[in-house]
Amino acid sequence: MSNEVLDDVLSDVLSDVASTIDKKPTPVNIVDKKPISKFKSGVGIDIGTSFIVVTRQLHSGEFVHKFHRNMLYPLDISEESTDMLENGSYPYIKSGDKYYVVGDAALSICLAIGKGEVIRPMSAGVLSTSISNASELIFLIIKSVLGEPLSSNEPLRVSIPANAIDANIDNLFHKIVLNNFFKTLGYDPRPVNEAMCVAYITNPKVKTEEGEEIPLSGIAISMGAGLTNVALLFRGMELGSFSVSKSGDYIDEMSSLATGIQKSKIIKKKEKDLNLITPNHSDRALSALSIYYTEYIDRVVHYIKKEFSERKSEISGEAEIVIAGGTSMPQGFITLFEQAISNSNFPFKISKIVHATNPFYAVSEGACLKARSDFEKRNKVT
Amino acid sequence: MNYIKRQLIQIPVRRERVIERIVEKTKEDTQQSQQIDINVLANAIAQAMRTIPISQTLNNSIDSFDNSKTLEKLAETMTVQRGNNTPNFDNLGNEQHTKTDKDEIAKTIDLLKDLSD
Repeated sequence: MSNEVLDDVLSDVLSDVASTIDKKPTPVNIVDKKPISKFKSGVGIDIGTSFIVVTRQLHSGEFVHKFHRNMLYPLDISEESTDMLENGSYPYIKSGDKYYVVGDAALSICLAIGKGEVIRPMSAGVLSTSISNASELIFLIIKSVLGEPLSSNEPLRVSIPANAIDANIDNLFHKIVLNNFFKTLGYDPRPVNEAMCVAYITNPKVKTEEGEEIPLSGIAISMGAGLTNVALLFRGMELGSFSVSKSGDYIDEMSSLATGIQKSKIIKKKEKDLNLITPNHSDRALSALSIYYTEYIDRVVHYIKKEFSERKSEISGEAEIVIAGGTSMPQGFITLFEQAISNSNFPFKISKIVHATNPFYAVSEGACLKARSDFEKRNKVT
Repeated sequence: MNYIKRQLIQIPVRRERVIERIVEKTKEDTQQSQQIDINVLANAIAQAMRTIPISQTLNNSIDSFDNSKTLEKLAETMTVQRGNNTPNFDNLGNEQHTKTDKDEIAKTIDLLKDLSD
């Protein structure tokens, strides 16, 4: 190539560049930009045996929760079932030769049909292997409840149970599976202990003999359907944690076995009518539920005593116990728990037992706080 | 006795199995066909075992192999949708708002920022 040709090419290129520079900057098209979210960055998620709860915080400070009953009801594909689902606008997943009705609709249809039982894609706090494609179904559900991240690698905290002391349940695999799944959705996921989430949102305190109140210290308990999680903490540090495998589901199953009443009907009764202080013994379901609730509370207190005594854990001063979770929601639960503690020769001095303001959402709220702190730490927000 | 000790260290199985194996080996080695008194031998072994430090790695119930890579690979396969699953929904879940004490929340977030995982 000759020098003249090179000069021509250079001249053309330079004139193109000059024309670009002369042009006024193109105004930013605000419509094309992603709108500023009403939420702060950092999301918490509680994937429980019974419910999936996702929590985000608004800029105004309020929490917004999305919750979904973690239940499936299988129906064989037929003209009749297709008509019923389509006409009733029920949410479902078509999988192979079955429909899996999801969420509250699963429970409603199960009760209406009156045969079969609902399926839980999770069992004892971890992914269930009771149906072969449980993980595929639950991931479709979680993805829909959670939605997309506000930005790439948005911090996400997922609550994970501690290993059970009375059953051979290892949470490691569950933790790895969930972590991988959230990464594929574009989040920056990290696990957080379920009971610690309750502590983050309720902030229990230990009052020392000198009268000082130490924040994020005491005992936190999350009472879920599959597991009851317990953590002992001091100044926000987890000193020890464990879970007990007999929790809300155990109460339902045993009450169903004792009475011969369908488990879904037992669940409905428990959520609507159960009062543990004045149990209604004329109703067989409520009577059995109150008996198994008493056993459950005694069992949890027994294991807390046993575990922390064996670990030689000590708290100097008076500690608060904070409680949350769906299984702690029947009327009179905290009173019954207080009675069990006072009759138990408990190894720590307890100042009070506090029920979380929003027991059903507390784990997810705590996970959201932890994710918010991750975001602020990462972005050096002061 | 040294022979028994060697056997105990080398055979990571239950005590009963150790005894059986030693009896068999002893028969082979001494080419004896007569019955060996198991009780006498068992007592000797029990005495010997009290002084033998048996490594935990010899215990079948404790697996020291790190299988985290296997778990990770298996976990990856769990999140794969293998087709044939068609949901009829795109925004599941009911929404609920709860109020918070904004200052308390800010204080807790500050505490959490100072903590390591």
